[in-house]
Amino acid sequence: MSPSVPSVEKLAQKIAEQIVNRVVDALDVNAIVAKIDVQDVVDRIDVNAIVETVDVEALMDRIDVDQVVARIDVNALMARVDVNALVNQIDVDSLIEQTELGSIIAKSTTGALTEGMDLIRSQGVGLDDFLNRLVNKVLRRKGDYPVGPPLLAGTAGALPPGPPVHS
Amino acid sequence: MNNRRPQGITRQGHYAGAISRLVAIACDVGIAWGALLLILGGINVAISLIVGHSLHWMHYRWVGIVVVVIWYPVYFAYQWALSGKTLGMALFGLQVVTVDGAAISGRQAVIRTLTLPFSIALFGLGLFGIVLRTDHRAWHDRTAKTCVVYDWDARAARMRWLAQRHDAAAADVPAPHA
Repeated sequence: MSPSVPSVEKLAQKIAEQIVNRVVDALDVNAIVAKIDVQDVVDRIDVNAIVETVDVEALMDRIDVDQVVARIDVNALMARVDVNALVNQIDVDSLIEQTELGSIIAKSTTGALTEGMDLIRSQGVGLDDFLNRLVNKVLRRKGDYPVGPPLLAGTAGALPPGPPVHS
Repeated sequence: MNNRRPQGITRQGHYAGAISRLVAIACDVGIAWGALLLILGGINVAISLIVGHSLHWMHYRWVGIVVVVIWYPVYFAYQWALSGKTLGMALFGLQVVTVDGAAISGRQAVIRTLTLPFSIALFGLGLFGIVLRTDHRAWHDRTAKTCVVYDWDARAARMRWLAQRHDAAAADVPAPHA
């Protein structure tokens, strides 16, 4: 090989670089990209085939789940959960009615004494109401008046409708 | 099954009416009397074991009156100070609270107890407020700055009723043929 060959190659390389630079500068890349139908390109890609080539098992084996979980701030996550809203979505009535929870509650809390006390109390309140209505009628008392002390009356409305009186 | 719902279920925290309060205090008078008889009976048995003969309380009327006069206020004041309710009130789901709805203090319990006889005196004139006032407060309530509210656990009663319905429905389901 003659010693002049490398110098010719260097010259050719320099010329090629100059040409490529000028061509690239002259090109409007945005215009070219605008002409490409990206959707068409995406449609041509067989994603399933690509996914099939991935060894998911091997990928999962490489993931340290414990490490990932350790990075999660569970307290911060729980702080963002609105527990009250979550609990409000639970239909407690149907939960108790349709599950064995009802039987457990019945067996643990229901007794003749409990039922008797519920009955006595509800009868007492019924008679109180009757007398109140009578007095209000006699005194011609109408309009709203406090039903209980400020700290307690507000909670009463939140109670569920009551059980039937067994007769 | 009658599906009528008790009136009190949504009344927790509301001012208690006259009938419940009257029956509750009648129960308390009876319970206090029974408890006093038990205590005196116990004392009598103890004395008879020690000295060999039992006491005849009829011979000590003034002592008996003094004991009764002391016992009743102690019975009411102690229980009101402790939990805001007596045994009779607990039976009817009632509780004494302050006019704001907070737990009453021992001082309020004592004032309420000492002024209760004045409400009962003069043909129960001081008790008329329980019937006529919208907050159902008698003289002794106003003096002690207290009121009486329904306090029974209506929510638990509701749960019990639902649980019973579940059991009844389960019993109605016919057993599958073998």
